[in-house]
Amino acid sequence: MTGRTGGRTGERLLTGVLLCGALGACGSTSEPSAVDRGRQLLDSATLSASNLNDYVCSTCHDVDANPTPSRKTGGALAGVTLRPSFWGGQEGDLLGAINACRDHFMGDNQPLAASDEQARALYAYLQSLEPGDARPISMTIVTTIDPLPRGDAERGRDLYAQACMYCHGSMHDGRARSSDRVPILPEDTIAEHAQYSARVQRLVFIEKIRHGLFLGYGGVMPPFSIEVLSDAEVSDVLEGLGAIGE
Amino acid sequence: MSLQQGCQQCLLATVAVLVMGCSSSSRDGETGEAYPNRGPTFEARGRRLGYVANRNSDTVSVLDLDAMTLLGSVPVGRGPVDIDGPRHVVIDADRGLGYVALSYPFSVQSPHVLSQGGTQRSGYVEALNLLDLSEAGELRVDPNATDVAFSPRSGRLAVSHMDLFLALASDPDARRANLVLVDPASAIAARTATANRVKLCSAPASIAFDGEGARLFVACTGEDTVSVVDSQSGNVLSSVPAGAAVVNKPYALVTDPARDRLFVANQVSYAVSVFDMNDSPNLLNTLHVLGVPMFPALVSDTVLAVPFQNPSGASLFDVDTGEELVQVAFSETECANPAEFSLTRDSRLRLVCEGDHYRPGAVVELDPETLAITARVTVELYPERMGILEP
Repeated sequence: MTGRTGGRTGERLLTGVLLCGALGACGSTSEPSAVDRGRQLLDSATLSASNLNDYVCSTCHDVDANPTPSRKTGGALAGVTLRPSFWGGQEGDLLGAINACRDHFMGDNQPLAASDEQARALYAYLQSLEPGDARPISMTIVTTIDPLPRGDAERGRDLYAQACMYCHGSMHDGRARSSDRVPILPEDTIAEHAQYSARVQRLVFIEKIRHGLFLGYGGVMPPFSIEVLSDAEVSDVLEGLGAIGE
Repeated sequence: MSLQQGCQQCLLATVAVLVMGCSSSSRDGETGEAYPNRGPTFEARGRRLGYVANRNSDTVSVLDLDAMTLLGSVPVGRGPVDIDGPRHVVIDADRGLGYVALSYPFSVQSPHVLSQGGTQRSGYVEALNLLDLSEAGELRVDPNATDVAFSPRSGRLAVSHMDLFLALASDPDARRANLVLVDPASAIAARTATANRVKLCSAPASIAFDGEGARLFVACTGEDTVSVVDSQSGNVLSSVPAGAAVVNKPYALVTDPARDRLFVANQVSYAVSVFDMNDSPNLLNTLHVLGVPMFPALVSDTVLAVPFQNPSGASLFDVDTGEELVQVAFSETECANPAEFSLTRDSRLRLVCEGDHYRPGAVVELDPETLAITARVTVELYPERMGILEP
């Protein structure tokens, strides 16, 4: 009896130890999975080693494609691991596309290698979003900046809330803007270009929206493609900001 | 096996499954291949491959020249939004590398930049792995990088800068743009390259090495001359008039070391100047062309194929007599703005067609005797020249 009882006790103990060990190994420790680490990275400024970085992936990207058009400048992430190209076809490699974001917007020009822990965790999370939409996302950059006609102020204020406020905060006072380094619109940008004529000021606003930091402008803002904001909607935003320029 | 023993083994198996279940799976990014390369690869496998830089679409198209088919087009350049303006791919077959000049053609169209005085962007030379056109290295050069030349014999690379902003300077000395020499070119891929600058002439355009890679011939557009440069020292050996006309405006320039010939296509005089390849080249003949001549190629010892634009067409000339043997016109759909002839070792003749720069250009194959088009492959926006990898 004793032996058998002791044996059963020992078996139960062994069972408990093994199960606890096994379950403990599974999830009760503090080590998150690569998918979880990747999910955290998506909303973390630590994807860049720069002290000046104010941005995260979700600043510019939705996880899933919205049924209504998103005003975020980057494409939805679900399906990105299956897409053949990125940045409107100008980047053929997913890690190259991520490193371009880190370099241009997040202030870190040291590219991640595919073997880096952060890169692997990010990939694990992005892969967990499959299938998503594997089609390449169009991103047409307006390279030549032409004057635009006047727009609709009310629509412009709505568009500002969708497209601009996440980074620039509320109009005129910058409340809840993403960083003190982000200009308050439109006052800071007008003041920065006070020496320009009203006509050129308007072109500069259009250029900043269309080119962001690219095509010779500088800064950290992403470009709004024609697919995200039409020319008419850019006119509306300018009108909403207070009829910038002539 | 007793039930108890069976349960113990079952328990151990369950634990094993649980433990294995929380180890890395193929979907967790720790064991599977992260960022698999889904881009195209271009293995030569005994084929002739053509590499065409598309200036306005920031891509390089790769063609199977034997089959006259497009294998793929790959984006190149340093930024995903900027128009990097790749101009010409030259081939370093021994190292499996191509070198392409990035020209940034639209860098000063920005109202913001223009309002601040029109700062220009530096050009770059990128080394590309020919297998997949991934970047192997880069070197910053000067604004308006225009042509790139590579000598397989000396391993040297040169870059010209047809800088029209400099060319407008009031001080004649300030108009001269640099020629950049890189020796060896492979240092670009090793990321140890140095750009050795030689102040040369106003608006240097096309460049070409001699057979040994010891001298470089340069079309100096802004000075209406052809200059010869020692590619090791950077010393200018000579500068001679680009043609017999009062104003010639040299742009395209091609050497044929085996036949000791230098051909200079002049855009204002509508003529191709035929020189020898001496340190101070001697003008041997002038070929008068219907339109603006571009990059020619010899199709035999004495017959030169010359593409021309405005109108689009091509001619065959006897380079010794200057006689025009054949002249053809091309429609917009056949070959708009013909730019460069190239003859491969199997005596097949191809021509790069720029298109109108807003719609795709093409590479066509032609009969070397009649210049009739026999095959056509569409590439992307604004191709001008083609680098060729031969078996």
